[in-house]
Amino acid sequence: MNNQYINGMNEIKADDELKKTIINRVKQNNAKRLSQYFPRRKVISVVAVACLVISVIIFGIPFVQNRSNRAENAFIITAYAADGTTFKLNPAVDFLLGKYQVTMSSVPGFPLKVLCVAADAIKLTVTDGEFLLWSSSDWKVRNQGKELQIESGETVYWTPLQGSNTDTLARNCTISLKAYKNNQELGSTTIKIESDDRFTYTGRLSK
Amino acid sequence: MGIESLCLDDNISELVQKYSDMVLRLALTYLKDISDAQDVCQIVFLKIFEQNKTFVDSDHEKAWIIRVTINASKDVLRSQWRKIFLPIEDVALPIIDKENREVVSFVLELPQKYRSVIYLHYFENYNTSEIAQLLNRNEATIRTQLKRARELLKTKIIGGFENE
Repeated sequence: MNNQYINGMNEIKADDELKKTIINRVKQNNAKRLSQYFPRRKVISVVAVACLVISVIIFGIPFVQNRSNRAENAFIITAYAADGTTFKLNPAVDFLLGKYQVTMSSVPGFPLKVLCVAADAIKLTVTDGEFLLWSSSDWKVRNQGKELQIESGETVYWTPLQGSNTDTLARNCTISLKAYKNNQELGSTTIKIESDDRFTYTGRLSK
Repeated sequence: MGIESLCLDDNISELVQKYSDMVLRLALTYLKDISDAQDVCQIVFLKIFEQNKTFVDSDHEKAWIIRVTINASKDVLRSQWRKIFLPIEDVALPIIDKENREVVSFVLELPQKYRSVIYLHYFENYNTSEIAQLLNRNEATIRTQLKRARELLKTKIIGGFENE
């Protein structure tokens, strides 16, 4: 009897028409589900892109502007060439700062005009030599030592002379400049000043 | 049409070819009506592809399809429509051989709890432990049901079903 049951059940088969119907219905159902799925994914994508754009507008632009300000406004350094003409140094480019000799009587030292529009304070430190401030109104030169804080637009002078010792001249130095606003650092740069055999000093922005 | 779509189509055809006969037989065992069994067959495959389940092996896949078929068949049995419009006459089974048809008919006349056990044991070759898992019943219950089903068949069929 077992075999008759098995043989009988074996005759019960899903015919080709039923199989075809099932396959078509499953395909249609899948297509329907996919068409429902894709618009939802599309909507999610659009919302995600919109959120991203809004985030960029809210956070990105001020950040970029801030960075831009920091990069562009951090330092505009005006150097004085030996012939008295002035030029601006682009912080991103190595550039001769100008030439200076101790024997020049027109200036007390190597003049640098440091401009940083966004900064309320600029701190300078030098490895060798010293900073000087000079006012043409009273013709007094004030020695500032190796560290100095100035405001944007002020002109500062570097001298290779070291204090009262006039016998030795610093042959080179590195000046570090840091710009601050509300005690927060906006940016920094470095100037390297070097001399040749005849003690003619040239400088270049290194950062 | 993308590769994924083509693969999916192949997968649909493969699964339908592989399991549609089993689903139809099991549904028929529950419903005793070939048209309802064909409807269940469609429902089961729609569910299979909607759920998009991954299986450990083909035995796992087969067992899951059996479960889906049993549930779908029970849903049809519970439907009010079927209760109202239950066919009065027995629908002829698509079995050509007379003796085979009679034996299958006798099995289908058994109470539903016995029919499914007989089908799974004698046709699908599941043991009592596996049937217990598939039907979510105790193994002892399955053994008893199998024994009772054989006894009932013995009264109708000369020789009855062999006890393995």
